[in-house]
Amino acid sequence: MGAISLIALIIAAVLFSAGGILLGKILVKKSYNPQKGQAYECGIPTQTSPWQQFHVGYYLFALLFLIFDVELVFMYPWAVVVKKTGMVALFEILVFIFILFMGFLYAHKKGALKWS
Amino acid sequence: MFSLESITNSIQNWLYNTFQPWFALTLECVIVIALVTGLFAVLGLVLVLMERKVAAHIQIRLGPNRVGPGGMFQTVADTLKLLMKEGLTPDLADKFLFNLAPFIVMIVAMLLLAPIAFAKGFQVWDINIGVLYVSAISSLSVIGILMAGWASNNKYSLLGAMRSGAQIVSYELSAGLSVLTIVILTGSLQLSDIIASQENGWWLFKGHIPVIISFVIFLIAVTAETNRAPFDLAEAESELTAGFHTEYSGMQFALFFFGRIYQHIYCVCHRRHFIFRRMDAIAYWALGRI
Repeated sequence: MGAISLIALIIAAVLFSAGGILLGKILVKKSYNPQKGQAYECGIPTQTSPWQQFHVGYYLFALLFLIFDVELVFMYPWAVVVKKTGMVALFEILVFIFILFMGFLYAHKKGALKWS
Repeated sequence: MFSLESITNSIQNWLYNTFQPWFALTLECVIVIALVTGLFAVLGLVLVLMERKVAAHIQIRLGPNRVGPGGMFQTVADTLKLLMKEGLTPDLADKFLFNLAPFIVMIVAMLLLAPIAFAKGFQVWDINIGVLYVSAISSLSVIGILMAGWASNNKYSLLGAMRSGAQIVSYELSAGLSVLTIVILTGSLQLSDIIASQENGWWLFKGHIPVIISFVIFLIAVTAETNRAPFDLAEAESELTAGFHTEYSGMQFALFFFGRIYQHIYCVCHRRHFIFRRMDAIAYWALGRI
């Protein structure tokens, strides 16, 4: 099958999840209680909303990941042809990795990977 | 060699000879949907039990042993219980995203199924950039997890989701790079080619030192990516209750739980593709769930 199988799989996933949830909805006898809608935290009423500023470290990690993930995507087509191309391809990828490694060293020096 | 190619080919030929092409294609889609949904339903039940049993025996416990012979129907009972539970949505949650997140996780899990070769010629889609497809789709699951954690309006959920996302993102690179070894050796991104190249022996046992190194890296990275036991700080039970799915209950929780397990299965399946030849998959699923 071609790309249409992806649509079929998405439909299957939606059917599977929606079927499960709907079956639950049909079988369950609903009851109302205001405590059911509260956040499941400590038992003490929740103080502040969690939708506020968050630690910047996660953001920096995501940024670094993005850079090196792009590098990885470049390496996949290289890996397919490296056997045919031989030493030249190996040398080229070493140069490529060296340049990116310099960037990584810079990020490390700037403290982007430190959790402060 | 175990091959189902003749069966799938004959079914396809019969469909296309008997019906109009568009109708045959629709029927093919229906067959795929039925098979895949059945596979999910059965796998979820079997593998949860298997994990609990194996983990229990590793920790010198008995594990589930009350429902049915040797605890065989424990997961059936658990699923029925989850089915009878009311699926709650917190009052302050972002209701649309909260209810959308289980679907996203499930869709990702289902899409990852496409290039898995269960047997020769028994593949949903033998995509020619299979390795790239797998790494692309598997990183989509972060979206579902972050969506669930953020929409819950719960600090534990948000923290768990953030940790989970950071962990997936950090180990994605090492997993991707370790797979590169196999791509270099095979010279193809197609999963069936990778399997065919190992027809006379696994790469792992051919004495390639890089393959052994990459196998170990892949094993660790994939365990971390799916937040399994030694790397489960994203759902650290003693501090974050349950991580990103704290607020979920009933069937939505079950979907999350199953979705994660399926993802793990796929990681193991793909590990099997990359490092091993096609073989008794069940044994490797068991290995992966420990």
